[in-house]
Amino acid sequence: MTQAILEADQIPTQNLAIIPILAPAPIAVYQKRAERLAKLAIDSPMVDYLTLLEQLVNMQVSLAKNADFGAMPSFVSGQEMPFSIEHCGDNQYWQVLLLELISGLLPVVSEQIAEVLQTLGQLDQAILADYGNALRRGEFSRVPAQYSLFIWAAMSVYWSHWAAKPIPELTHQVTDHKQLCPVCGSHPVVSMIKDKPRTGLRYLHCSLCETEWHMVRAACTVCDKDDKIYLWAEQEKQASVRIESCDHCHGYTKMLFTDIDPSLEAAVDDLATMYLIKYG
Amino acid sequence: MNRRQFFKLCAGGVATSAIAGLGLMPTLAFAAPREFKLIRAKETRNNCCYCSVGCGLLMYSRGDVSKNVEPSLFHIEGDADHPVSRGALCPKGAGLLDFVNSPNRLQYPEYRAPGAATWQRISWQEAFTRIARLMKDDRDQNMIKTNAAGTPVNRWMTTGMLTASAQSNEAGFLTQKFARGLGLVAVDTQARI
Ligand code: SF4
Ligand SMILES: [Zn+2]
Ligand SMILES: [Zn+2]
Repeated sequence: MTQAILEADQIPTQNLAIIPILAPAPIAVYQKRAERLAKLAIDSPMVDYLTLLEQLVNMQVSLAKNADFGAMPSFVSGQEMPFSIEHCGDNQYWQVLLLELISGLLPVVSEQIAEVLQTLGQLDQAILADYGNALRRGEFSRVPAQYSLFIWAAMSVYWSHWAAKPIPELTHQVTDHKQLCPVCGSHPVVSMIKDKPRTGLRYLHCSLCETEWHMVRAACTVCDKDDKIYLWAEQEKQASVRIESCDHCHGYTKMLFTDIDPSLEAAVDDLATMYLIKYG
Repeated sequence: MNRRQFFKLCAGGVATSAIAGLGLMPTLAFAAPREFKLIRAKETRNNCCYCSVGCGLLMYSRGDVSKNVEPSLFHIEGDADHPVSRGALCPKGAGLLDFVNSPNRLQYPEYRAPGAATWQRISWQEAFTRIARLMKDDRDQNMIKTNAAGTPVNRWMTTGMLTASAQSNEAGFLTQKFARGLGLVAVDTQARI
């Protein structure tokens, strides 16, 4: 962490309370993701895949800006994980977004990907719904691998659009369980160590709705124990990517220190550092 | 599905985010771009003990406690989650690493005779005996039992005491009892320094 040095008159004006849940700003999130993908694609052996992702994320930007999201999904105010699949049920409005995503991508992608997209776009609504629900439940093997990315991308645009709505009603009683997203109940991608709103705080980043929620540092994000926590990194000091592991449950989380490297992006840099996990 | 099962799935090729591998990700992503080695550090939450604020710290050390290797501290930073200090440290706290690892760190009692230029190492027993002797002599000579009006006051004004800052309530209580029991008036604490 970088140690801030403050002038005396700045000290009382800081707002230091920890904000427990940061609502996503989807357009900004996807824009930053697309920029990061473009940067990493240069010189990458995965250039084809990264370029496809960049096209996909750019479509997410334009959907987040312009799409018709229909009526707000209903939720019980103050309920735990109000947009989780258990509580919010079988919402299929994302399928409209998927079709727009497909039509936007078709002209720009390779022939091979275009074929995948065309068959995906012709699938029966009920089958798509089933695939979407399976992914949200973590039953990845039930969904043909070539479709998952696009289905998830459409669902992500949909849920990130609405995620901010139930957050003001969520009290600490229903957000005390830190393992899953307090809004949609999905798993976090990574831990983001923030520079803002306050340097050094850890927020977990939702893999679906892009919400971020605070979790104390130096404690296991899986089992909550705090006495056998290890950090792994390629260098001893100021490493911008580290892995926090727990010797109790052998769980781990990747930590991206945005106070050290502000260009880090949750989903992209998780992908870019996959090789670290293979090592562990 | 809990996180454990999820991580198992991840290890099996399905990753934590959509773009990192729900489906299309090439196995290339798992190939390291260069030779690398991961260094392991133990991460511990603690408090700075140098004044009564008790600022929160995150401390990082090398060495494996379970294998009886002496852990060595290599980095300390403010704990942003701490409800009082919220990640901030004063210059004393920010320099803690140098205190802990300082070659000049005091590890045993030393004595410098009046007028002498050098310090000599003494045992704890010698130190206690000497301090007790000097205190007793000074107190015997200078203890004020009554004031001018004859009211008992029991003040010992010629010696002072500087107490530790990072004490529990109970230790603070005992310290106070001890100092006031002797009649000491000038009692201060490291917390103010
Ligand atoms: S000495 Fe400084 S860092 Fe340590 S507890 Fe006091 S104010 Fe905090
Ligand atoms: Zn979420
Ligand atoms: Zn654990």
